Order: sequence, then structure tokens, then C-alpha cells
Amino acid sequence: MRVAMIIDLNKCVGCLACTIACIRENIARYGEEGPGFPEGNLTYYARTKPVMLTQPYVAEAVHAFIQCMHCDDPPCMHVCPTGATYKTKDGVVMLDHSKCIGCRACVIACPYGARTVYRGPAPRGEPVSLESLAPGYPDKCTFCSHRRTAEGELWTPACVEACAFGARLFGDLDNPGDPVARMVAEGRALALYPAMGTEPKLFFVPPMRGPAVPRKREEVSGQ
Amino acid sequence: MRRGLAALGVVGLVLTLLYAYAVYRYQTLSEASPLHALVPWGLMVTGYIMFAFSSGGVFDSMAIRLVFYGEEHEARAARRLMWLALALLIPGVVTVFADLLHVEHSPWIYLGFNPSSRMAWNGVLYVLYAVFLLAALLYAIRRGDEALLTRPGKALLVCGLVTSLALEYNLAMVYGVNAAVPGWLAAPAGILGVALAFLLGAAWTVIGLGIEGEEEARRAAAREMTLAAAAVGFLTLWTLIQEWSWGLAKPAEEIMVSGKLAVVFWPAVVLGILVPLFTGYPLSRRGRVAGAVAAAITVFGLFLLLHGITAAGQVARLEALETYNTLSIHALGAGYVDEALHELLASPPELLAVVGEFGLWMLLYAAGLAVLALRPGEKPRRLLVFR
Repeated sequence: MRVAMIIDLNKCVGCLACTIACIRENIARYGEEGPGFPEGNLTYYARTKPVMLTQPYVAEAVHAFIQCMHCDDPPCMHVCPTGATYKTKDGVVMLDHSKCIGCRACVIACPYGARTVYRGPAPRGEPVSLESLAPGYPDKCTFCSHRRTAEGELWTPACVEACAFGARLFGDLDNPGDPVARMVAEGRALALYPAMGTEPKLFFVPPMRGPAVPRKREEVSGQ
Repeated sequence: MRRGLAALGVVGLVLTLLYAYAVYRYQTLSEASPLHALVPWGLMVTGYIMFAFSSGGVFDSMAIRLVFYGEEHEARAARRLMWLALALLIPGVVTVFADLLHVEHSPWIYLGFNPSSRMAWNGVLYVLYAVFLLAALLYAIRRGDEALLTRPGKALLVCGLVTSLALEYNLAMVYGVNAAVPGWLAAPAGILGVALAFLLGAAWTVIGLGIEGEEEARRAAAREMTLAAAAVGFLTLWTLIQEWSWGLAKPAEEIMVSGKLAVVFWPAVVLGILVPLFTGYPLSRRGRVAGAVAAAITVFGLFLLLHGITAAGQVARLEALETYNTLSIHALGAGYVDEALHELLASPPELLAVVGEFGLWMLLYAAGLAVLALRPGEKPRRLLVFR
């Protein structure tokens, strides 16, 4: 099994429910006094961050998300001196907090800017899982793998669960019958910066041609 | 001379206390800022790389003169030079650990050794280099200066030389293998690292032997500054041309040559390259003070050059990759480049730590000259290595 995610930018309305779900699941902590959050811009520490995609991917700027691409050949894993960043059998790139020395080489090496270090005080309360945000560590998306119930079975990440428009799909690239595998195989879902050779497993369905999101600038101006 | 050493030691002690305070501040920093992710390698990283290059450079040059040319005046200066190399290596290694956010997990560098990581290899090379350096120093103290010109002495020096060159190359390639930072990938990082090590080593040799040491070896090092400066100048130019000619890396060149880092880069070129290029050879015939001042200016200039390359790469990465750019703007507002540069150039704990590194070197070097048997022909009287 090789898990992957697709974000369909035609279906995404930019409501940020996924970002908020990620914060609730992975960033916030919970205690008797209610939820505790990191200081500063929470969106920045969410593991799926809203950004604007611009040329050369699309003619008109469109909302997209930056998060760990769970590359098949992850540069962050290669530069990690201690093996703290590793890949699971099903292709999820994870961080072993007990081995991380905090050298930030992974942050530098990620071409997608997907890893962030929070150096503020720990939020009050208890984290949801062992993989939740911890101060001083290069945080990253885990595809909510703490939700995995059994080996070899798919689970549902919090962001996929939260998306009311079905813009996020999570599936198995090795299963030809899986919609995710099919869309990738048909070329409908594309990876960012494929030329980097990192073989990301987060894909985007680019905006289709249409009056709301024209593919070319000329179509707007009528030239 | 004793007064001079005492003064150096006292200044070193004060700055070492400052260093300890700065590292404490850095380690206990609690500040929620996206900058920690956008520009994660700051002044302390440049600081430890520069000290590691400096130590390797001092040793490389000395080992080459002894092993391949058998220069007797170099043998007379060898103990002091090896102590100088060790006194430079220690602040560098201490700062490597001080810069880690989870130093308590550092044994995993060896326990979880990742062979595809340049940093992991640095962990090995630092140890090997330190072992050979220490072994050669102890050998010279115990057996005398001439022992370094014998077969076992040369073997130790060659082993130290190989590991030192590998360390310098590998340290620079930590930058050079980063596809995410086009400004570094475009650069001939490894070779530039070795050239920088030779120039820094020559400058530190002029400073170290200027405090106390063999005049002939000091003059040779001053002449070497000129040659190494020419190499560093050529490789810096080559780096800029490569960056200029490759679209993704061009912003790194622009930001250094004519952008916001020009105030760092051009002084670095003047102080770190032109000063040693034009003063090295003439100063080899002048007094110790003039040579030491020129060498100190060179070290400062090369620190600026190294940090300019470190900073420009990280800031240009934001410029080059559009999604990253938009991410930064989203988090920080349009002035993110200024904020990132401010963090890179003027983070108070990191700045203090770098100043403190020089203090730790002063303290160690002065203490070693005062208590170790480092003078030519001197025999240790106490505890194997002490006067």
C-alpha cells in the first residue's frame, strides 16, 4: 500500500475547514481549561497551509495548500543525520521526536516549504497523539496516521473528513481500483515540481477551463 | 609576552562567559515566529562552519609543508599550530551542539547514523579529524618537533590532512546538495569550502604565530594568504556566474551583488579577499602586528562572505519558489524578506554566541601557550604534556 492524497482545486471553495480540522487534530491540546493553542499565527503552524498557486501552474492565482507531500524520495529524510525523519511501509513520511536533534536540515531541504518549527511555549493541555505539534521540532503532516486502525487498511485524515465538498481524497496508489490511483494514472491529478524528482504523493487537480477560473490570461481580456 | 597572554586569556574568559549566556538565551528562546522555519540557519551555523574551516586550514597547510616539503621551520612551529587548530576546533564543535534545538538527542547522530546525510558524515569526520590532530600534537610533544618529519609522524599528519580536507569539503556540501536552495546548489560549494579553509587557516596562522611563534612560518603563512585569496576570489566569482546564469539561483546572486545583502557582500569581498590578496605578500616582510591586523580583517571579511552566502541562499529560496513565496507572504505580510534578513543578520543571542566563540578560542589558545610544552624543543615536565 502507498497512501496518497488528492486536492481537487475545482471543488475547493477555500473555506479552510481542512486547516481548522488539522489544527484541532494535530496542533491544539486539550485539558480541563479547554483547548490550548500555540502562540502566533495558527494558520502557519497548521499542517495544511493555504497558499496561492500562481504561474506556471495556473494562469490566474488560485487557492491551494502546502503540506508535506510525503515524497517517495524525500529530501528531508536523506539529509536527516539521525534517521529521525523516516518513511513508513505505506509511504508516510514521519518524524521520530525521540531521535530529532533539531538541526533544521529537513526544513532547509524541503523544496515545498512544508516543514515548520514552532519555538514558542507549549500549548496547555494534552496532545491528541504522540505526533502532535511539539515545540522545537520540525513539524509536518503525518496524513493523521495516528488514526490508522490496522496494518494495510486505509484511514481518513482529519482534513479529508472535514471537507464538505469532497475536494480532498485519500487513497492507495498501489490499488488500481482506488479513485486516487485512477486519477493519478489518468493524469488528472498532478504533482507540484515533478522536475525535482522527489515523487510527491500529494496531488492537485488543477482548475478546469471555465468562466470562473480561466486557464489562460488572454481569455479574460479577450485578446 | 606573559602579560600579553594574560590579557588575551582575561578577554577570552569574559567573552566565554558571554558565549555561555548567549547559548543559554538561544536554547531557552521561546518565541513563536514563522521565521524560525523560513530562515532556520542563522549566525551560529555560519560561526561553527567558519571555525571548523579555520581549524582545518591551519592543520592542512602545516601538514602539507611538513609531509611534502619537510620544512624544518614549520616543524618548529608545529606544536603551536596544532594547538591553534585544536583551540579553533573546540569552539566550532561546541557551537555545533549549542545550535541544536534538541542537544539531548545528539547521540543519535552516531546511533542512528544515516549514510545519505552529509551532516551525519560530518559527525564522523569531526571525531576522526580531532583524534588525528590530538594524536599528532601529543606525538610532537612527547617525541619532539623532528618526530613529525619521521615516517610515523608523517603518517599521523597525512591521516589528519585527509580527514580535514574531507571535513571541509563535506561541510560545504551540506549546502551544496540542497535542491531546495538553488543559490547553494549552483555554487561550487565543496571546492569553495576547501579554498576558504586554506585562506582562513593562513590568516589564523599569522594571528596565532603573531602572538607567539616562529617568524619564518608566520611569513610563509602571510604569503599563502595571497595565493589562497586569489583562489577564493576566483571561486566566489565562479559561484556568482553560475548563480547568475541559472534562473532559479539568480535571485541569490542579485540579492548579494545588488540587493539587500550587498552591504554584507561587498565589504566581505574587500576585507576577506582583496585585503589578503594585496597585503599578504608585502606583510610577510613586515612586523607581527601589521600582519595580525590584516589577518584579523581577513577573518572578519570571510565570516561576512560565508554568512552572505548562507543568508542569500535562504532568502532567495523564498524568492525563487513561488509557492514558498506566497506562503511567506501569507504568514508574515509583504515585508517578510526584511524580517527574514533581520533575523539572519541580527539575532541577538546568535550574534553574541559568535562573538563568544572568538572568546573561547582566545581563552583556550592563551591557556595552552601558558601551560603546555609547545615551544620548539621544549620537553614536558609534568603530566606528559605540561611545562
